[in-house]
Amino acid sequence: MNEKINFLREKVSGLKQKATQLFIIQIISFSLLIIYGLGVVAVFAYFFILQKENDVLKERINQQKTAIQSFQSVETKEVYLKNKLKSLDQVLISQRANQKITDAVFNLLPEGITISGFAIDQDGGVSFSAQCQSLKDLKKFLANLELSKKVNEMMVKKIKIGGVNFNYEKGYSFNIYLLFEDQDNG
Amino acid sequence: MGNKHFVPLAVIAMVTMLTLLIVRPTLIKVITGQQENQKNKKILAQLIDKAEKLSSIDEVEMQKRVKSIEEVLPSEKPVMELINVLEQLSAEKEVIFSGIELKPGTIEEKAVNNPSKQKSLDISFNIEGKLANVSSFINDLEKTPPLMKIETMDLKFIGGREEKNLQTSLTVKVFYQSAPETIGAVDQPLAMLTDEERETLKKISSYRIFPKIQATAVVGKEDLFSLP
Repeated sequence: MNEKINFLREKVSGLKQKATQLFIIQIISFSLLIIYGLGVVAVFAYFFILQKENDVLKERINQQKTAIQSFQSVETKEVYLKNKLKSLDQVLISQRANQKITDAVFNLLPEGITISGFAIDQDGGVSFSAQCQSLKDLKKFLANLELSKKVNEMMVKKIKIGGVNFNYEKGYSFNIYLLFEDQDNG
Repeated sequence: MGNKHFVPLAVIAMVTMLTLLIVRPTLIKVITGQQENQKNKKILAQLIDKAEKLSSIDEVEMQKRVKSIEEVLPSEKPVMELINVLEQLSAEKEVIFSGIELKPGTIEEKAVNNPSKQKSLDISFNIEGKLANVSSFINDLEKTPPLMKIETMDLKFIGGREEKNLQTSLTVKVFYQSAPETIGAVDQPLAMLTDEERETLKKISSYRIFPKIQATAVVGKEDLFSLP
């Protein structure tokens, strides 16, 4: 019975296992390095694509700018119109109200009444000083104010008369404030 | 330690070095490039839109609009135009026009701040006529270029009841606005006229424009020393 006695068997097997482990670690390390390398290459490739795309975009932007500059006279006119229309609108809105209010006051005034300092405020209120020689004219004017609830789509909303004075030479004088409401605009 | 850990440690060292020296700066450039790319795409879209809008504008029609608005809201003080309009309008409405008082100020002023701001000058004058005529004059005044707004008004009925003549003193604000000096950057979006603004343009194009009075007399001399 010959039996082989191998004292190194366990040690050899341990060494083989270690060598296998080392091989696996090396494979994993190299694989990770390759994956990392591929990632780096991808980043570089993307960077170059991005740069190229940006160059193309810049070129197209310049082309469009040149095209726009050829329309400079049209653009100047458009900016000019826009700028002036903005200012114009504000004046036109206040004008519309002024015309109606002026017409309404004209219709309210009887003969014999002299008015001065006729001014229209931002709320559509009219203030003026009035003067008349006879009490009859004053009464007529007050009667007109009483009767005319609505004059040319303008509703008399508020009437305020103050400082009524009488002078033998100048007759009656008073200050008046009328507030109109445009029926067209509610 | 030696053999077993050499390769992984070398890989880690290599990756760290590559990351710090090459990959990180490249990634920063990529992020910046992406942001720039997005920004450029946005600018390009705006420019294409602007160029399309500009090419769609009818230049002849635009010129008409500019002319029309220049009559209504002139770029310079409309002193002579104003007197001309008031004279012609009063003649048409059969009212007596008198007592004009105008404070034009300096003829030319260089605006430093906000050059395209609306400005105005005041004019005072008297008109006298029948109530209907004066009323018509006042109504038409604010619909006649240059743009005017009645500020104050003094009214006095004169004459008999049959005549019902009205004497009116008016203070009118006349508006003007210098043209904008710059049109802004090329990549600034173009603001097109809104429907309301088109409506305003339509309205002012219906304004009555009185013919301008041209100076016909020859004034001045080319050669000061030439004999007549």
